[in-house]
Amino acid sequence: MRSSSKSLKRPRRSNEAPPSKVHQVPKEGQVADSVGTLVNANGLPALPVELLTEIMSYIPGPVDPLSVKSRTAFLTYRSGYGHNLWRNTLLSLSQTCRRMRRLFEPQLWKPIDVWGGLKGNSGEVLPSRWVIAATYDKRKFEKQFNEELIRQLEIVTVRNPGYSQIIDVEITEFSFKPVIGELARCLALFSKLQFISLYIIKTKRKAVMSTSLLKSVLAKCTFPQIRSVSVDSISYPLLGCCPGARSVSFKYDLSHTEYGYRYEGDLDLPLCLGVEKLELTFPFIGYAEDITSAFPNVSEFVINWERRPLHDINMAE
Amino acid sequence: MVILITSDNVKYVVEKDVAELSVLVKNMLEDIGPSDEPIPLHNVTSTVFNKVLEYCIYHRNDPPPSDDDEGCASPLHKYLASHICSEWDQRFFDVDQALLFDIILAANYLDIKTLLDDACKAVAHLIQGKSTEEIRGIFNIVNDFTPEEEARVKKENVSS
Repeated sequence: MRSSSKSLKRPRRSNEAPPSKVHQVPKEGQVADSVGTLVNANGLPALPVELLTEIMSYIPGPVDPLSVKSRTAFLTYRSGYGHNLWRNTLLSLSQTCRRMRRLFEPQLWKPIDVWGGLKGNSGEVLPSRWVIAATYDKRKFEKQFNEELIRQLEIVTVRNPGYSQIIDVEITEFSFKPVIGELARCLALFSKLQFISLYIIKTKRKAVMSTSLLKSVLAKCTFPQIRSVSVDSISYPLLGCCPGARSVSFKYDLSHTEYGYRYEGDLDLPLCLGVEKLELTFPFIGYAEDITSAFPNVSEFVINWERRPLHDINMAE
Repeated sequence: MVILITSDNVKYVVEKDVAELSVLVKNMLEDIGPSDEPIPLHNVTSTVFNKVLEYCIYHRNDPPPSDDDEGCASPLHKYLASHICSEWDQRFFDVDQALLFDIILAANYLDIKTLLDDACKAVAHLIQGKSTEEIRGIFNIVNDFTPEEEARVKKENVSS
């Protein structure tokens, strides 16, 4: 028999017997009951791994941020509804029996996601940053974001820190210092982490104060395993901890003043020698010198003019 | 015409274009060249092959699946792909689960991509959005966790 030349991306041909016959040899994660009969030897849980994976591929999962061209494209694809549905389904499936657990637990915790549109630890959907900004009682929402992050970090560190490969989180200023401290502790454990997106939802203190807190917590941290980093103008000190980063997405979170858009403090970007691809969202080109000196080896440059009024753009800059 | 013999020794005489929807059969035909030699299908029973044949006859004139479809990363594409299914296909897959899983295994063994994709979609629809208890009920999955393991697993759930 000859293999199909087009079979690379589809399940490998299986020569196993049809599932209606009881398998005599347990598959990974299968167990026998007290009289030696294999539990879950038929039907769905007895399917080969590649077929279970194929079935689950029809329940659309989160977009892999490393597979899309830009942060903007990633945000376009990202869907809170779809993500919640995928996570709930995978969680349910992984809790049915040991074999499903073994197969799907790593997929379930490959991404750590906390952002507006996803469910928080209370089961409620987390609001977007714009809703929070317009809400009188912000504390409730602020707490939900950070508690959900801590919950997910705790699960992954207990289960297997090697599961985590993608972190896409928005956090708030609620218990900011301990939350950042715990995130930094976990990042050091996540040896397979490739991508992190850390955005700060600012509601209380000035941006410079949060940035300075971040700097102090992350001062001695290094996460060389991370290849792609997405930060805003508060969380950018994280860049200094990622010497292995090749791709950086930077979103300015500027205040609108009578003089136009301005960052509140000095933008002292760390030197990122390894970065080859740089994406800027809402760029304020007044910082062009800071950018060129921080990312001297960039060969690919993407600019997103998100919500920036055209009259504010000076092309000469 | 091509002669196929299933694992329970039932002989089928099938038109070549229908049989060649299976990449396995197509490759075997190329290997043996012009011949009346029957092709054995070791891993497929006649009960399952009847369904496979029904599918292949109905879809014999469909355009071949594109390789581009496999590599598309767009979730929208995946979503649409997982939902578009004709009424005929829906009726075709409205069978008992044992047969449905046998069809999946047969499609994988025979290398019939469209049948495998459609059958996997049908199962995915049964799983999507269901709770743990619902999935166990639908697929007769026995909870083989110890009480300690189950308590540990349940800690992953958000409070409701």
